[in-house]
Amino acid sequence: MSDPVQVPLLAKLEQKRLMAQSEFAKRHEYAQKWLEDKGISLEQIREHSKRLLTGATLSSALLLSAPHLPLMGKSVTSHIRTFSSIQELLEQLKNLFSGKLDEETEIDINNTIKKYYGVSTVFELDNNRLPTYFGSMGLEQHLYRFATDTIDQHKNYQQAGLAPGRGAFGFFFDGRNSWSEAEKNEEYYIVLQTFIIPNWNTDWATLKDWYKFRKFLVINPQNGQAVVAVLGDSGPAVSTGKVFGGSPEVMADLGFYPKYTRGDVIVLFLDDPGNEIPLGPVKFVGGTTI
Amino acid sequence: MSKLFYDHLILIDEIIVEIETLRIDVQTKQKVKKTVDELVNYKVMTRILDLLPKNHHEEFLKEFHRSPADIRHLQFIQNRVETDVAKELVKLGEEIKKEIRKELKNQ
Repeated sequence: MSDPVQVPLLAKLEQKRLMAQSEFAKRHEYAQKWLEDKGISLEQIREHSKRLLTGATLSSALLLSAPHLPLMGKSVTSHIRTFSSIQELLEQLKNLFSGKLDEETEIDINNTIKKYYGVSTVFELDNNRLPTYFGSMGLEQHLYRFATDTIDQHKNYQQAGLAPGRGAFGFFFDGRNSWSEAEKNEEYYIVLQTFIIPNWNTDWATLKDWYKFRKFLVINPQNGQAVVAVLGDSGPAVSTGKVFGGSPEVMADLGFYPKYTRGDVIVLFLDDPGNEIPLGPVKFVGGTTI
Repeated sequence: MSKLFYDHLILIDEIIVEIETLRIDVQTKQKVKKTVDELVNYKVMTRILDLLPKNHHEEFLKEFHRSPADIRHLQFIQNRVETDVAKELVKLGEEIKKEIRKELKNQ
């Protein structure tokens, strides 16, 4: 959420933009109409330029005609232009697994997520980036919320079991937070491979606090179901082939569990400085999931 | 961002860097950057069309629409006007950046 002092800046700039737009339309009515007839405006001119550049690249054309080609180590910018629907976004996201993104594509994705899910996501937060944003998420067991916790005290999915030790960030309930918050955090927690973050070992002390219970948006690109969750543990081991883990509640609300115990997901930082977005499933703003 | 043929004269990246340092959330930063970019595009195109005689507007718009990043548009304009177009756009860029910096400082 925006801080109140930010509003005047954006409002003033928007006012200046509107004045410039009005001046352009007034002084060059013909040009304004000509561009309108072509279906573009000066606000979209960079997107138009990007589309043209994309279309001019043969390799991009080849990739577009074969969307399931492995994209490891290659830019996938050419797959993303603008997303006219959530279905288009999800189709594109499916193709991004193992691919690298440029800043512009990341903005396109974040803007589209904001449009359809009503929450703000970012690929980079406070100069922190994830080792990967796409990959396989596996089912995790419940985690200890406090030292004497037992599986029968967990409300849902007791069949998933309780992990043998506490999570990498400690117990969810430490006496300083509320029980309801701790309970919700454990219900909606994810796991990611913090140990392969490049500066994890050198900046561990700072990063551990920063990542502890950090909020993320997780999307299942197969069905569009999305969940807000906190980071509750570190893992899974690289040898498993999975890159994320999800609590039973997360996996269920993404549409995987109990039928499946793993599935491909997109994980992005949630931009929620006011801590106002509740954990749990996120509804589509503009419709229903696929 | 995708390039436009006048980007190297306006150097709006200088402002983008300053916006990055603002203590505002990421989503608002993106909106501010987008608004600034749109503001610049309107101002620059207004100035270009002010300079270029009207009988060349359609041809220029067609070429610009076909390839917004093509730096040869500058030569196209320069061949049809008396003033130094590059110098005019650099000057305009400085004016716009000064105006935006004033707003950034006041926020």
